[in-house]
Amino acid sequence: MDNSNLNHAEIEPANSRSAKTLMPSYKVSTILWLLMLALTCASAYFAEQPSLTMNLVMAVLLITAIKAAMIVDYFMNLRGAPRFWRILLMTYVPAVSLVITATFAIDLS
Amino acid sequence: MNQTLSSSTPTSLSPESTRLDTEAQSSIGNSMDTETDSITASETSVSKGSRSGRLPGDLAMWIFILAELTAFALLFSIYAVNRALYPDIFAEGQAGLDITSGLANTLALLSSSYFVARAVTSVEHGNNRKGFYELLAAIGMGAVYLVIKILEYKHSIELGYDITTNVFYQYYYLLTAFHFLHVILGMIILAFVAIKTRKKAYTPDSIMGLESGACYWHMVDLLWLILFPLVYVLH
Repeated sequence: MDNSNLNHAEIEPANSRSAKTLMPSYKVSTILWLLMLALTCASAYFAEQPSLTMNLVMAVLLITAIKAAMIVDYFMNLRGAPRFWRILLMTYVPAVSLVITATFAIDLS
Repeated sequence: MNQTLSSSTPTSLSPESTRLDTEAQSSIGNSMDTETDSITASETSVSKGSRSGRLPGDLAMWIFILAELTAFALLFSIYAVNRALYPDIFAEGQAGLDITSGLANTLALLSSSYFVARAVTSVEHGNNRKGFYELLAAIGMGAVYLVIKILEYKHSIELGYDITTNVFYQYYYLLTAFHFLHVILGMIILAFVAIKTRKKAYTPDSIMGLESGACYWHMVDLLWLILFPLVYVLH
């Protein structure tokens, strides 16, 4: 391994540590926004279903978790953030959804 | 840092350079670790070293956001448990709500978050003027939410449903009004950062205040994303 490689390797992590993850481009944001609008309309359609089943509950909450992941990673721009914060925010909605699902399991089963 | 050290003290070059060598080797190991990690975690390949990147916005704002999320997690849980305890009262109450209002409010808040995200992108590109108008659009969408929610409350109260009606309305008003107040606070924060954006107080290199305000607003949106299915959809 030659010297230039060593120098490069030494500088590289220091740079990327202070490096900032840029916001998504307008195009990416717009696509995500339209996707989220569509997903929201889909979950509203579920509300019109005659009877509530466990599968319906899980489908609606899954849609919610997908939208939340888009917001956390792209709008909040945490995809390059320290792992602690990203995991914390990413797990929040699924965790709350689990509690909600559990309460539905009580009276739907 | 090591490089500046070694260049400023040329006398200690040889011990310093050996240290540099070992450091360099360990950092090779580090960078390889980071790479394999990011591959296994199938991260978005947008940034290198995504493991240890910077947190957008101020740490204090994130601690505040955590506190808010905790409070809401508790409220959501209390609502969900009570719904399971009184399924009939909740089913009747929820059926009386207007799903269209809930849907419109979700779309309004999502659009608002979208404009805020665009505004941060604009300021990152040095285009504060555009960012300012995008923030105004975001505040406008927040106002749409407030108007719809107020009309919805008005409608419910006119029908005689208030916080004392039954256990459903008690938690419905508690949960949605608490969120309503957060939307108002979020709009005040957005107005504050919009004015600072206009005054060019934020630049691509100094954008933390704007990011903090933006992330607070996204949190308000995130909470509504749970509230909407919980209150309007699942019944």
